[in-house]
Amino acid sequence: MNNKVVTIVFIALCLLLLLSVGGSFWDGSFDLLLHDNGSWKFPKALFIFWIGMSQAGVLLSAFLLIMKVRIHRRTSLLLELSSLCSLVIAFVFAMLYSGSIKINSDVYSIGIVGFISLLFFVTHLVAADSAEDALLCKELAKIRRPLAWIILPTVFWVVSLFALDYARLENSLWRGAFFPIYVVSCVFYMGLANSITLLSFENYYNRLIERFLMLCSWFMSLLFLWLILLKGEGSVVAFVFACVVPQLLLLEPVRENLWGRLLVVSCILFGVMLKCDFVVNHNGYHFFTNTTFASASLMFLGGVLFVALFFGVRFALSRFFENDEILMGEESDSSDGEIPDAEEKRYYSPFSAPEFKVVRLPVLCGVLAAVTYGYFTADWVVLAGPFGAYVSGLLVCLQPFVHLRSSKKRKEGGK
Amino acid sequence: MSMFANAVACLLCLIFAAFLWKVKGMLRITLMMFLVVMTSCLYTAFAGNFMDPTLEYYPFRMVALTFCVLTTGLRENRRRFMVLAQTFWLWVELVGNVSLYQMGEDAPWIRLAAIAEIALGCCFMAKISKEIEFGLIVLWMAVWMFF
Repeated sequence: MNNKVVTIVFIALCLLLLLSVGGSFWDGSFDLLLHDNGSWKFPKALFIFWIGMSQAGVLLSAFLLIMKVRIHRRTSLLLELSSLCSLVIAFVFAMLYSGSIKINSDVYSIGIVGFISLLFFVTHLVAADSAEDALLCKELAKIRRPLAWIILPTVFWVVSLFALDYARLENSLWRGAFFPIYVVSCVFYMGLANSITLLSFENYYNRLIERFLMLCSWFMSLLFLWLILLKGEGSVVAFVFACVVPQLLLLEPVRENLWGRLLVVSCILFGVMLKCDFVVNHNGYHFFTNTTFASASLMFLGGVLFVALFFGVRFALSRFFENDEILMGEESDSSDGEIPDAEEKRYYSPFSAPEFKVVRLPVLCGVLAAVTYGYFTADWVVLAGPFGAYVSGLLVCLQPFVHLRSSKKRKEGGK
Repeated sequence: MSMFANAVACLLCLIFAAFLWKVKGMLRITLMMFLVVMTSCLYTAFAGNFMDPTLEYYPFRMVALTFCVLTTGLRENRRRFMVLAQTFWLWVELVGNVSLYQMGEDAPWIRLAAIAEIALGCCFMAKISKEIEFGLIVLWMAVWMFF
């Protein structure tokens, strides 16, 4: 980990937070920070941003695993950890500003995804620490992809429903089939930007992810133009920050410079935050015309909390992240230091792949649990899916321990 | 969108897939996909009427169909990607149908069921021959045109 860069960023964020809190006394907006009357909408925009971040890391990690795109294990771990930390920040905002942020069943489903993400992260973490128990590591490595198969559709489902319900309950402008697709694309884009930021703190530079980020920025530009065609409006400032500024990565001096890369991805994240503000306030320039020092304080508070929490946990878990068995540094676009999977190219007849064997019984139980849950509750549309995924994920995680126990018993019986 | 415009969109998807079959490398395919999305959006903008709420996700349906046809040309992990592409199509349709339902419009649920059935059927396919590939493309086109 690049301690120097982390320290500089953390101190800079703390100073900005102090300055903005001081400024809020000056412009008289300090009262907004302390007394939540529900009329101040900026906490809601930030809450949506951090909820998006909480899905971004795990979505990207699971997606890359399923698509068999080889990335460094450390990258996946960082993405998964960032998801969990972002969820904590979103939760903190929801607690602090319960007047403006209404908690409904969509937020519970995001909590369920958070729990499955935690399982995904922990299994990944323990599987990386093969020095402890090689057998357990091997068993846990087997359930990583099946877990990703459960997580990916769940995240898609939860984010889509979050977007659809937001359009239905909060702002009818966003009603329509395009909004959920747009939100999922934004979440994916945030995941890519976030991974470049986190890798920069680790002194890494992944060209593959950077190229995908560039391509994704073009896709996002298209989606933005489509949004303007459909709704007749869109946040131009957000477009500039999220889609135009990333084109600077085409320039070698910016791309090769750590601070240049950090600045570009910070602009992307800021641009997405402006998009969230636009979604909430329905005005592309709302942030710049109505911003107060209180808004800036809240924004920097999120940043400071994230950096403190993320790097605190990262530092505590250094042993897992910097495992000697994992190759350090990136060698090429195709090499990532993952344990090579010799079985990957083998042909499997339908329903006979090892991943399917791991996942079939838990998913069946999950579907049954979801149906039972749906039968007894009224809000089955939102929560039945995540609840089924929760049961499936839990059962998949129990499998290695059951296997280990049964093989231990078999050995003892043999003796 | 009119029947003719819908048929042209389907034909466009086949043309996109034919182009994509020739491209190698994930990044080049992604670049081509960008062009596909752009052309789909432009086509929908010119051929359709924006007052119609079903047009909101029309370009993404086109992209999903292109993905499905594209997977028939893969050499490795064909079944996996075929099911994934159809799941993507299913997701786009599901999200679209739910939003249409929320707006009080008629949602084409039969199309959703048809795609789900084909995706489920694909899971059972052991060896996908040229004939089955052709049959699948015809089935997808039929779903696109008639449901």
